Amino acid sequence: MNTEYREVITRAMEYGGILDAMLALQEKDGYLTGEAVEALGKAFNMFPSQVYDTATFYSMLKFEPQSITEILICRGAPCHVAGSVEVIVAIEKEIGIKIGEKTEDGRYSFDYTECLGQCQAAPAVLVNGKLHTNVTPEGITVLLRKGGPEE
Amino acid sequence: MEMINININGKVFSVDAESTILEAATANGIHIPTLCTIKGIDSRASCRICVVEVKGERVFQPACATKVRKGMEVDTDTLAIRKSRKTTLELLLSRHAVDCHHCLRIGNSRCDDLDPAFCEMCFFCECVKDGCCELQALAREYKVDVLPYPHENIDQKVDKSTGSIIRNSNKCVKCRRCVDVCNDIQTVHNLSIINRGSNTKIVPEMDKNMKDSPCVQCGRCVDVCPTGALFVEEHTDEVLFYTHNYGIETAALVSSNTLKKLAELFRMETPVMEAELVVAGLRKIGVDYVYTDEVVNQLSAKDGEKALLKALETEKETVIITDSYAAEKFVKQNFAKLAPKLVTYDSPQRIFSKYMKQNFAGDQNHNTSDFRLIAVTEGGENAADAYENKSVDFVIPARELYSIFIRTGVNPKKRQPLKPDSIVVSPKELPATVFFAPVEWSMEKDIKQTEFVLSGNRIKAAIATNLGQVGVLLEEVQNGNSPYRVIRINA
Ligand code: SF4
Ligand code: SF4
Ligand code: FES
Ligand code: FES
Repeated sequence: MNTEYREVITRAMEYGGILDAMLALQEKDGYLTGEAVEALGKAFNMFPSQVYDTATFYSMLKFEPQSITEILICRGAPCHVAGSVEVIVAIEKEIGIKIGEKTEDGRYSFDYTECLGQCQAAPAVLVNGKLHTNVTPEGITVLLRKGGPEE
Repeated sequence: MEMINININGKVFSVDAESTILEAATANGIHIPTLCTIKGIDSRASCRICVVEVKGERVFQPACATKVRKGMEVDTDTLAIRKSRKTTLELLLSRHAVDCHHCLRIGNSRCDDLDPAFCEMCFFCECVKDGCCELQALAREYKVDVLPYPHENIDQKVDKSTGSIIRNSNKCVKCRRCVDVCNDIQTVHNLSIINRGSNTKIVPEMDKNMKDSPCVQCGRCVDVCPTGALFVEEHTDEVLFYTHNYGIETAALVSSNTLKKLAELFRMETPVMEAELVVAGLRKIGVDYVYTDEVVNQLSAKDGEKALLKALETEKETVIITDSYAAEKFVKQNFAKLAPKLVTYDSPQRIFSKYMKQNFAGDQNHNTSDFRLIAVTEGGENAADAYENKSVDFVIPARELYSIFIRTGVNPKKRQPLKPDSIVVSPKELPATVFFAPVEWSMEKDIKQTEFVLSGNRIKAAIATNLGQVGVLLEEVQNGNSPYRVIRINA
């Protein structure tokens, strides 16, 4: 296990820093496992507590297995001005949980993310990593009804 | 030291050019309230209680982290500043479980019949007035008597997993003191800050519970926490139960490391409380035998000396020696290769325990199972040793003893001093070399070097007074370039 982590980290270190390595490890397991954090600590000469501290700064990094459909909405000011609040309300209504929560069956999770760099086409939403821009409350409802990740 | 002139509150003062506004003001008797900064660690300026107005600056500046400049004009106590500090406190308190009358930082808990809903913010009430909580003292100073913001995030689970160092995150104000001590001074690198913004939390490594974390239970984070978020497990109810119980005998050891804190808590003029007064107080609450620590300290030193003599015969390289629970754990965790070399001897608390269990019980025909041992001492590691190794039954730090006294209405200041019971040892046992005399924990980076003579040999030694120093010293040993024959460690 540990060697696998080391390989992923070594590859990531060729093109980037610790954040790239974290993303690569997340790609592998779906989230950052405890051993992954420890392996990162060794590779970057940091204490596990420091690695974890750094990682938790980014909402795109996860520390537990994720739900099937993950919806992330941008919390940036331009998205807010463009009406992200209405979109949030629509999503909450559709999937029946509040932002920051997970459905009990584990099908959906819904949370904020930081600026997605799509301010020109705000509001922006990520559904399982796929970007949707100029999102409207109606649009997102239709999208979610059509059903999940593959969309 | 270069001096410059600055203007504080309309008066000109000559101050050290390298100092912060806070240091300059304090040096000249001007009070600026603080919550997060501690002496010895660079300020992180995380609480914003110490804000002051600096002429020419757009916003208020944190006095603890702003360096003085020539000709600077500072106001420390304007209405606008007071309002800002008050708002900061109100915001902090909106994320703080304000159940002061149940908090260990409050001495007086003779209020079991109070209604918590009614007494939400009773900072002006007698029942909480004598606390030792920095947050509450500030709330009182700034007359925060209502909570204008809704309470949030105060239902996190209290982490009691270690049985000694307890974390109640609901009381944490994110001042960072504990994080800095655990990382920068102790170099254990357990506590850290995770998330950001209003979700910021202090957690043990990777959000584990304390028991599974690398925490070594040194308790230094407890010592610096300004609130009731970190504390040593309390035993008030047990202690009072056993001291009031006729079938069970209790014996207490009063360590001199608590006397300074006790004097502070009881607002005494003297720098330390007389041990005889503590003895009198403990007798009054029903402790049957009370000892002070001179003899056990000596016996512990003697034990150290014997262990050292033995080790010097076999160990050709540096001897690493300690009586500290946390240091032992730290070495095992971080220097696994050196761990087998580590020489341990009995701490005063363990000596006390052994003495009571062997000699005392035997001599006076007592049954040890009907005995309860209490150590009145500072330091989380003693509590951890009690919990893990059962050296004594209960460790009571100064703060808890204070609250026990207040709760039972015993005021040691007003009592007739009483002589402690004596521990009888053969004079052969004593005295031991001063090398093993008690040392205080410090935040110093500089390591104390010393030389002493033991059975005719001059020995070059170092005494580490915090775990960061231990790290440096043992690194040298590991690399084979330690200049010392003996390293004594204190956590
Ligand atoms: S007791 Fe010591 S090691 Fe444990 S968290 Fe506190 S400072 Fe760190
Ligand atoms: S636990 Fe105490 S010392 Fe640590 S950040 Fe919270 S209030 Fe400060
Ligand atoms: S603010 Fe939403 S994409 Fe930038
Ligand atoms: S004491 Fe200065 S910001 Fe906290």
